[in-house]
Parts: sequence; structure tokens; C-alpha cells
Amino acid sequence: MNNSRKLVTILMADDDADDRMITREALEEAGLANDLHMVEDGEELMDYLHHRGKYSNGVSSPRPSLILLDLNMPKKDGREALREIKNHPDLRRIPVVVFTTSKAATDISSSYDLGVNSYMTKPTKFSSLVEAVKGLGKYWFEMVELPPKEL
Amino acid sequence: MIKALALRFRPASARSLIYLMSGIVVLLGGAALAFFYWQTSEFRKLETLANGYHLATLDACASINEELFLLEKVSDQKSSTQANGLVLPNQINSSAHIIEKRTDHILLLQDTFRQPEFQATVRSLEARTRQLLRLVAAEEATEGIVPALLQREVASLQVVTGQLQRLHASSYKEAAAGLTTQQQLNTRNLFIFVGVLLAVGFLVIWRIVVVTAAKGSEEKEYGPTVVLAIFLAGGIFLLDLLAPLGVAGAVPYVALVLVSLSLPHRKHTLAAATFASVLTVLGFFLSPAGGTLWVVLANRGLALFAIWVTATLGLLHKRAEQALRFTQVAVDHYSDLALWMTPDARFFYVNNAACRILGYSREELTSMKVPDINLDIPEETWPKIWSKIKQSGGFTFEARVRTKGGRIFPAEVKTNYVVFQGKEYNCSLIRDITERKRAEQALRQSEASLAEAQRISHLGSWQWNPSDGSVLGSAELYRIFGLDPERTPSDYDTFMDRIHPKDRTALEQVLNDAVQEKKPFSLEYRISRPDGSVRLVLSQGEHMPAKKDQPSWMVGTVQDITERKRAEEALRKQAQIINQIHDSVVSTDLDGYVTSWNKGAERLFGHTTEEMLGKHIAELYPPEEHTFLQNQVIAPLKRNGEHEVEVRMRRKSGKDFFAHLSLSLLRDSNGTPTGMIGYSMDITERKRAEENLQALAARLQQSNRELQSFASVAAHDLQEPLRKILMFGDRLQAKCHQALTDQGRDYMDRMLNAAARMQTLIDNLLAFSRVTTQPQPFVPVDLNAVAREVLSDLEGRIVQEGGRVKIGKLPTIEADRTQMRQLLQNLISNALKFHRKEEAPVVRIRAQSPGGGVRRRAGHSPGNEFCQIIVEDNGIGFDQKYADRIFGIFQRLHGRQEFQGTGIGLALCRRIAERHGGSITAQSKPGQGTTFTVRLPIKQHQGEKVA
Repeated sequence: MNNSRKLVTILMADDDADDRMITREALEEAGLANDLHMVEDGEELMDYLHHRGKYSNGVSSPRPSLILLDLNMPKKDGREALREIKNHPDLRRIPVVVFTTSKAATDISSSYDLGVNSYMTKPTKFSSLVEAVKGLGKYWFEMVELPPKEL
Repeated sequence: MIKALALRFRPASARSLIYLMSGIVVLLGGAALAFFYWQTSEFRKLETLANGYHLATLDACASINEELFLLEKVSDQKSSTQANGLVLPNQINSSAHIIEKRTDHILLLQDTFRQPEFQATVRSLEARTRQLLRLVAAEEATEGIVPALLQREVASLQVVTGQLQRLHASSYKEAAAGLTTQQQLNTRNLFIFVGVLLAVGFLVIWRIVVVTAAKGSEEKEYGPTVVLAIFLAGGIFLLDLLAPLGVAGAVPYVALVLVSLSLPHRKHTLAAATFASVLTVLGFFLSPAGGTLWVVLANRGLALFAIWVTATLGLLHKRAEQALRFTQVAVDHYSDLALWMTPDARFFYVNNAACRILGYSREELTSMKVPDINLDIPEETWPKIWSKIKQSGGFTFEARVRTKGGRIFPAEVKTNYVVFQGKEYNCSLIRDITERKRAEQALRQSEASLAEAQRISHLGSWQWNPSDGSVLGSAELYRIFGLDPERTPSDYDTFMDRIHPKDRTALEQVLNDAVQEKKPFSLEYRISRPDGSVRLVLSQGEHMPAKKDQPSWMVGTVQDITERKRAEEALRKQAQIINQIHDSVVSTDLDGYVTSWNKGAERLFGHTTEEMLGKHIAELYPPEEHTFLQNQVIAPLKRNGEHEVEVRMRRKSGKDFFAHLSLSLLRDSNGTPTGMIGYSMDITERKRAEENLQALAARLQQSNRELQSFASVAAHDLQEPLRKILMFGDRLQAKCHQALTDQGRDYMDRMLNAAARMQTLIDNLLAFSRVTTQPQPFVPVDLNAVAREVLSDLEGRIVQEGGRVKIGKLPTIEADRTQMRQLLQNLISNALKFHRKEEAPVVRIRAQSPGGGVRRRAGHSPGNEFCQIIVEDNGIGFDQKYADRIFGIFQRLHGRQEFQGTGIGLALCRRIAERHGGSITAQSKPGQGTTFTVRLPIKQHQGEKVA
């Protein structure tokens, strides 16, 4: 439970409201939902990261420690967003984990080619989802040294 | 001798002939010139002598005159000097004697100087001289000299001598003139001689150059003889002309006659004798005078006698000799060998043929004995043979004769016992009968080959005597009728019994007609052999008219034409088939002119057979295709012997169509091309169908692609809601477990089970569609490694089921590694799944094929090598009739409650195997386990191989 005290900013991009809800529940169960932000498509994700549009005030859009990215999204899909992030000199340092239902090998390899940090498929069982999210949290927020938030 | 000379010169060459003639010409010419010179010089001598005598006579006259002058002087002084008068008459006397002597000499010259005036003068001279001598004698007697008288005598003597002198001078002139005449005569003779020489020379050249070349050797023999005869005649004639008539210059003509005897014909000798006679008579007129007339006539007469006696005797002798020679030549040139032998078996005389055929010379043969050449008469049997010849007078036998060269030939020997001049001889006539023997052999062979020919051609021959019904048949005839010639009577009825009953009447009718009307017949009929088989035969026969000691015959042949008819029938049917065949079959000669045109061609092109026969094949093509026809149809056909091509052709109606041509060269039995045959098919429909098919295939491919992407997309999108159902079902179970009733929980479980099954289904379906939608390149894959990975994946299940999986040595093949893994995984898990409850599953995986997992087929490229992967289990098995069904998608043999599964696994396996160009089969029996055999190529085609 000490993890819950630590403020971890997670940004999740997923067009599916159900998934967002289930993932939120799983993250809550895993104790990682203390600063969870959700966007619904790739455009919104980029707006959030660049503090544009409704995120232009900057307060409601803190720099995330981890991005959970769905691949298949309207407007701008996860692959395009991933390319933009990984081509951005600053944003590229934010770990991005693809979190999708696609098990297609082409998706997996192209994502890694674009520089994704991890690729996960969404489990069908909630318990498995919780396990997966816990694993994510343990890995990214306890084991790995991330670059400092502000240069 | 002359004849011998002539004979010796007979074979002379042209060169020696010319030498001979030149010699004769020189000799004769020399002789003529010498004779002429001699005659001239003799005349000169005589003339000088005569001159001398005249001068001497004149001298004597002068001396007498001188004496007389002195005497006159003395007479005048007589009275004074009587004594001196006695001396003077003596001087006169001696002078008178001198004159007398000279006169005698002059008298001797009378032969030379025959002129009558001269003769008279000489006689007067003689008389005067005698008168003078008488006066002188009287003077002596009377001792008184009458000077006046004496003086007168001397004066007349002087006149006479003067006359004589004058006469001498004139006679000399005359004689010189005569000599000139003689000379002219000689010159004329010389001209004749030279003329004769030229004529003879011309004749000789003509004979040698023209006649010899034209007529050949027979005439050549007598050429030199004729030349010799002509020279002889010329020479003798010349001699005769030069010699005085008194010489018997015509006798040598006998030599001419003798020479002419060596010429072939009697008329030649008669001609020569006649010619000699004419020359003899001619000589009498042309020769210089000499001798008395009767002597000359006698000489000529005797010469003619000698000529004709020689000719007659010579001809008589020649006739006898020719008769003899003819016999000799006849024997010598007899074509058979003629050998005379003495009782001691020695050859006495042999003819030319004997020498030529036996290869010995005449000398060699006459030193040999009979056993030396006759192999069948050894030395010791000769006495027996001889006595047999002597007793029988001659007989004929056959023997083997050996030539000098060692050749041995069969001979017919005829012996003849001959006694000649008390001596015994045998004349053997030997004939080489090699040819006869050969002919006999050939006859035998030809008889044998006739029988063979009859056998091969199934043609038997027969002779039938209608009067007694006897039949003479060849071996083949019996064979055709199926009869044994040894055991069947050779008569009409025997053969008639074998005629098919339905044809018998017709045959009998035809035979009767043929015999009655003596005409040939020809009939086809059937015969039944004793073994029951029926043959069709063609019989032909002819009537042979009766000869003096033979009755009339029918002769003919019977030919078994069963096979031929059958073949003809087959051929006819074949021709009919070709004619009736729906497709067009057209044949042409090598130049492309149509020689046959079937019904199919009529149908296809619209031209009738009559229209097309003899027309050029190019008429079947639109003009713009003619180049193509020459270069792409006819040229390759002639080059390769056969050719297939698709080409645009034109119907009679002008409408073009596409035809498939299948062409071959027609060849005769030697293989030489004689024409072309083409089979053409209208492929317009086929072309259209092909095009349609291609379009269809393209559409199908498109729709397939769409379908596949649809399946994949659909499966992916289907997963989403399903995942939600599972997820929220899970949440519901976890959070509201307590709120639900038992029944609600049961529903919940069933719903979640159904959703899970659907997810598996979609997963499998996706995998199935990905086999073709997301293929990986073919790379070398070590199946051993793949199997190990699969095994480690399935570890949990294997342990759970308590089973065992044994992996044999597997090959490395070119394949899609992911799919290979899917394949093995499905097969192994399938085997684990369907195990019998009472027994732990045992799965064996091995590669099988003769040769270490690689089956190689002879003559195939490496790309065609296959390996077989076998997966065996000891599971529940299934009925073999489902062996194909189990590979269909969604096909299941068991209820879901019994065995879990989507019915996609094996379908996926088959799809993978097929995508690799292989196959999968299953062999099973219920309760006895199942064997899956996957056949996969070891190497993939180049086109699909991606590095």
C-alpha cells in the first residue's frame, strides 16, 4: 500500500469506455490510480501531452510517468501517436506501453520498431488484468529508473 | 620358201613392214641402175674398138698407096733397076694382109653396125681386099707387077675405106641416137617403177592405216603378203623389161603365184596367176630385143606354163591343207575340253579350251597324266577305266576336275576309243557342268523358295484333272485346308468336303462353267477346316488345254485372305472413322495441296471434299495469316516432324475462327516424308471459355482476398465485445456472487463458458485465416527444434494427462516456421486430447520414407523431393470413412461434452500442409489409435522462396 502514497501519473489512451472503466478498476485495485488520466483518441492524447486544446491550462495535464496506449483508436490511432511521441525530443523519454487487444505479430513488431517500451495484450479475465497492471506498476515504478521529470 | 618368208612377215608390225619395203626398193633400184650403167659402158667399148679398126684399115690403105707409089716409080725405072722390083711386092703383100685382118675385125663388128649400107661396104671392102691379095699373089707368080691394075685396086680400096669411114661416122651417129632411145626407154621404165612404188606405198599405207583400223585383226594378217606380192610383181616386171627378150625374165612370176597361195581365197591365187600372165605377155612387147623369136616365144610360153602349173598345184595342195586345218581349228576352238590320251593315261594332244580352262600350257598338259587333273580317276584305277573304254568304245560319266589354280569343277566326261594308224587313243570330251549343277541347285532352291513364298503369302496352288477328279496340291494348299497331305486322298471330293456348305454350290457351279467353257475363274468362298475354324479364301483357276498324251487340266491357286480381309475391313472402318470424325482431318502433299478431306473438315470449313481436293491449304487461311502459315506452321512441321499450333483460319463463308492444329508429317515405309496430315479443332468456344475462366478466376481471387480480410477483420472486431462479456461476466461473478441465486450463478457460468468457447473459436478462426493472409517467407526450418518448442509449450498438458511424446529424427525443410509450429502443435495436442480413458496417451513423431526421411523419385528435380512426418497415437481412433471429413473446418466427430475443440485444428493443419505444397492424411480404426501422415516438400519453388 505504500505505492498508493507515491504519486504516479498514468495517462491512458483508449477509445473504449468499457476498457477505460475496467482498466481504472484494475489500476485502483492495484493501487496505481491516484493520478490517472484518460484520453479517448490519439488527437486528444497529443493535445494532452502538448497542453493544447482543453489541456492548454497545463494544470489538468501533468506530464505522465507512463502512457498506456491502445492501438486502434479513432481520429489518430495509437501507431501514429506512438510515432509522434517517439519522434519528439522531449516526449520520447516517457515510457509508452501498448495496451491493446491485438495479438497480430505485425502490430507487435511495428510497435517495437516505432520505439515502444512494452507491448501488452489486454487479458480477458479481470483478475489477470489486475495481475498485469500490478506487474506494470511494479516494473515501471519500483524497479526501473526513469528519467527525471524536469530537465 | 617364199611362202615361209611371207608367213614369217605376216605378224610384222607396221615399222618392220616399212623397213622391208625400203630394203626392197633400194635393192631393186640399185640393180636397175647397175644394169643400165653396164649396158651403156659396153656400148662405148664397142664403139672405141670399131673406131680403132677403121683407123687401122685406113693406115693400111695409106701404106699400100705408098707402096704403089714407089712401085710406079720403080716401073718407070724398070728397065734400069730390074733387081729392085722384087723387093717391093713383099711390102705390098704384108700391107694387104694387114688390110685383110682388119676387114675380118670389121666383119666381126657387123653385129654392132647392122645398117645394110655398111654391110655392103664392108662386103665390098672384103672383096677388094681379096682382089688385092689375088693381084699381089699373081704378081708374085708372074714376077711382073702390073702397077696400073694394082693402083686401081688400091684406089678402089681407098674409096671403100673412105666409104667405110664415112659410114662408120654415120653409123656411130645412128648408134648414139639408138642409145639415146634406149636411155629414154630406161627412163620410162624407171617412171613406171617409181609409179608402181608410189602406188604400192599408198596401198600399204591405206591397208595399214584405214583397213586395219576399220576391219580388225583378221584382215591385218594378209596385208604384208599382198604388199609382198605387189612388190614381187613390180620387181619381176622391171627385171623383165630391162633384160633382153632372149632372157627368160618371166619365169620368176612363179614366185608371185607362190606368195599368193598364202592369201585366204582361191580367187586371190587365180588373180595373181592371171596378173603374172598379163605381165609376161606385156614384157614380150616392152623388153629390149635379143635372141631369136622362137626362143623368145618358147621362153614366154614356158613361163606361162610354169605360172599356171604352180597355181593349180598350189591350189590343190592348199585345199587339202585347208580341210585339214579346218578340222584342227574346229577341235582347237571347240568350247569343251578335248584331250587325247594314250593307253598309259598320258595326254597326247589337248585343245585350246583344255589349256584355257585347266590353266596349263599345251606343253605342260602333254607331259601330264589323266589322274593329275581328274580327281575321280586315281592312278591305280586307270587300267580298269581304259579297258572299259576299249570295250564299250566310249561312255559318259561325271567327275571332278582340278585346274592348275586349284579350282575344282564338276565335269561331264565323254570318252571315245579311237584307233589311228594302228595306235590306240582315247579322246575325252570334258564339259564344265558347274553352271548346270548351279542351275539344278537353283531349281531346287527356287522350288523351296516357291514353297516358302506360298507359305508366307498363304497361297496354295493346285492342279485338278476334271476327268478323273485327281487333285495335285502344294503343301500350302493342304495347310490352308487344314489337311494332312500324307493322310488324305488327293481328290476333288476331299477338298470339296471342306468347302463351307453355303458356298459349295456356288463353287461347283463356277468350276463346272470353267471346265465346260474352258475359261478362267475367280471366286471367294469359305472353307471349314477339320478343327472347326472357318477361313475365307480366294481361289483362281485356269483351264489348261489337253496335250497329246495328257488330259486337260484346271490349274490355279487358293489364297487364304482371312487376315487380309480382316485388315481391309479394319482399314476401311478406320478410314470411315477418320472420314466421319467430328473434327477436321486433312492431309496434303509436301507442297501443301490437299489430298484428303474428311467429313469433319467439310463441317468445319464448309468446303466439300470435291471442292478442296487438289487445292492449296492456304485457302483455309485468311491472307494475313499466310506468312504465319509458312513460318510458324509448315516450316516447324517439316523441321520437327510434328507440330501443334493455334492459328486463325477461315471458313468458306469467310468467317474466321481459332483452330488448334495438330500436325504430323506422313512418311512412307522408308521414313521419307510424303505429305502432311493435320487435325484441326475449332477452339473458338474453348478460347472464349478460357477467357471467361480467367476473368472468373480473377474475380474469385479478388473475392477471396476480400473474404479473407473480412474474416480477419471480423474475427478481430468480434473479439472485442466478447472480451467485454467475459470481462464483465468475470466482474459480475467476483462482485455480485453473493447477490445471485444458485440458478443465477449457474446461468452465469454457462454464459461465461459459451463466451470462452466463442473466443477460442475466433482465435482459431483467425489463425486459420492467417495461414494465407499473413504468410511468412519459407526458410530452412529444423523440425526437430520446432518439435522441441511445441513439446515444451505442451509440457503442462502432457504431465497432466500422464502421457508421453516420443520424437524421432526429423528433417530440416524449407517452410514457414510459425506454421510448422502450429501444425505440430495441433497434431500433438490433438493426439493428446483424444486418448482413451483407460490408457495414458503415447504420441510418436517420426519422419518416414525409404532413405532417411527423404523420398526421392528418379528423374525429378530437387524441388520435388518430399518428406513424410508421421504422428501416431494410441488414442480412441475413428472409423476410416471419416478420414477426409476430419480435415474439414468445424467438423467434429465427438460431442463437445466428450472432447473440447472447435473443429478447426485439423483444418488448419491441412491448410498449412497445402500452402506448403504438401498434403495430410489420416489412417485410423476405432480404438486402435490414429496415424497422421504429413507430406511436405523439402525445398520450395524458387518463386516462393524468400531469403
